[in-house]
Amino acid sequence: MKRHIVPPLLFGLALVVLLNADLLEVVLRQLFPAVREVMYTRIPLIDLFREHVVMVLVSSAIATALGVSLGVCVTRPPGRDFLTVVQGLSSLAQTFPPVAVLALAVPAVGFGFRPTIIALVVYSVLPILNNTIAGMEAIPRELTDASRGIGMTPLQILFFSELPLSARVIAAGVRTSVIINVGTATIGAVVGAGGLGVVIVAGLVRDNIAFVVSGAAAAAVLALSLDWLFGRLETLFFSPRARVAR
Amino acid sequence: MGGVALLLPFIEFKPNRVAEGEAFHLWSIGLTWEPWLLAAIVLTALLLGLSGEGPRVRAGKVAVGIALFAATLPAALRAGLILVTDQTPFGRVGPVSGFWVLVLATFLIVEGSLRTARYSPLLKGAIRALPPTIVILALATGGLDSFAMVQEYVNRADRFSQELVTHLRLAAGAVLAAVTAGVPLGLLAWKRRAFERPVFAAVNTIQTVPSLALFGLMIAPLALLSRQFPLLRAMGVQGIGTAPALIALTLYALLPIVRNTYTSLSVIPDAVIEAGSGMGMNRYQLLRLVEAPLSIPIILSGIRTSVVQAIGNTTVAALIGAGGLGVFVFQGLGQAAPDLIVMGVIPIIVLAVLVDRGLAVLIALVTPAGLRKDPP
Repeated sequence: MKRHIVPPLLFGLALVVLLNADLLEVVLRQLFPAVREVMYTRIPLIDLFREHVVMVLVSSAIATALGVSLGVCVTRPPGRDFLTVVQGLSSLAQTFPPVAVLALAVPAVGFGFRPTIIALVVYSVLPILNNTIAGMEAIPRELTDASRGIGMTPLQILFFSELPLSARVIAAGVRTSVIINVGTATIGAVVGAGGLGVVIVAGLVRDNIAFVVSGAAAAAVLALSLDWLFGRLETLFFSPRARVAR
Repeated sequence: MGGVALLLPFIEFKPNRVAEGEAFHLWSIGLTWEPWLLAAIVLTALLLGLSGEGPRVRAGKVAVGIALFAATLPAALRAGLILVTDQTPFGRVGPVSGFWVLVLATFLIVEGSLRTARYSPLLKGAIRALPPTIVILALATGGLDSFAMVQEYVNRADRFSQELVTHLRLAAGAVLAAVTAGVPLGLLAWKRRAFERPVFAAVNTIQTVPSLALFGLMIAPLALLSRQFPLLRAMGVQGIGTAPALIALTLYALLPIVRNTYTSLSVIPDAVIEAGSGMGMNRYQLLRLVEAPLSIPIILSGIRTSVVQAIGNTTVAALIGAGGLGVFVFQGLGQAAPDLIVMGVIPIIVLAVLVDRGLAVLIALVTPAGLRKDPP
């Protein structure tokens, strides 16, 4: 029990320091006495943090909806024909670096918030789609047959038997894509999407270590705490009891 | 889909580098027979799609897919020759949506029919290699010279090869270092249970941190070290540049290697080891004849993940002054020059896909025959 309290305390403390301008300034002055201007004053870090979170949440929500429904479609009888093609396309696309997808979104849709969201969605759909397909394919035929045997309609089979059974695998895909999104959204700063990358890039351009470190630390804490949160949710929802039920 | 593609804008023309492009439809460029040929191929593809299954239909689909690509590229090429004339010396063309949809259609048709086909791996490989070969031929003969991307390349040919080498060197160096450190770490985590949790916690944490943030966090301590120790500074270790990039990339590449090394050892059943020693093998023979052949494919597939990831992350390293192909990408983003972005991105994608395919073949070759699920 005690072990589970340490990470949120650490993340909470880090966030308080990073997002409270006065506290952050004190800490940065201590760390980098040689740097004259330690605070990025154009936009408060907390606003960039909020932008970053919004970007990740919006894109991950869209990607989850798209990925799961596409995965469900290609594992139904009418969509089966497309299964191999979709799998081939998505495994090929997954070898594309996320940065590459982000950069290509600019010639396609232009600079700003929208292309970043599009790029994030396009890329983060893949792990969710792959895992949805894998989860569905891993369900033994006897189970769906049994569901049909007790009189469930195809829709009921999907919602009460197939989706719950593959939820664990799908959730793992969502976790992967959220973490990738936090990382890619950081680079989103170079295409004018805002977010924590703005401070890092500003620091790199102006050769200001304090900027770089404050942005990088905030992005790292965000990613780590989200990852921890997902880990906790997984153990809560997919406890050993649920595993036995499988 | 092919039908839609024929109606979408096919190519755009720009009088110079920064001007707004003007999009042209396939039918409005002044091409003579090419649009009709494309339409005919698309129609054939549609008919084939409706004519059910069977090896003949499949072979037909593959042929039509390849033909579609072989007709799309020359159409774009001729369009380029028509649009860029002597009056517009800085003119350039770039493919737009219609072209890309046709390329995607090619991929879907060919890949969709190849996946279920019972061709030999060699034949499949040869068919897959056809479209890239056509592109290379078009590039080599100078047919694509009016394309904006190619012009961006020609303007920077020297710089390009230099950054390509830097990119490869950074990615390869990082993966080599990660293998040197990661395989022993994986072994350690497996042999000594006490190390299992901390090792995995550490490599997992590193992977979770955004790449740009990791690069950023490397800068401060390295700058400090470089200031404190003149020897390091003399070796070229600085806050920005190659040193932090290489360290961050190495740390990033660790997870797949450590995880797969660990997995590769844990999946060898005790019974197999016992059978080996029962046959009178000594410790060394067991390692060479039993453990290594079983675990090397799994470790290699970890390395495969690492390399593909490292190629992508090296792009970001350009932001901290380490060079690599990312230089062009970020330059393009900075100058709002889409063609330059594409020129930087495409080699990165090609590199990632090539390395991924190449290692997949290697893994298939070193996998013991008894473990193969399906032929490569």
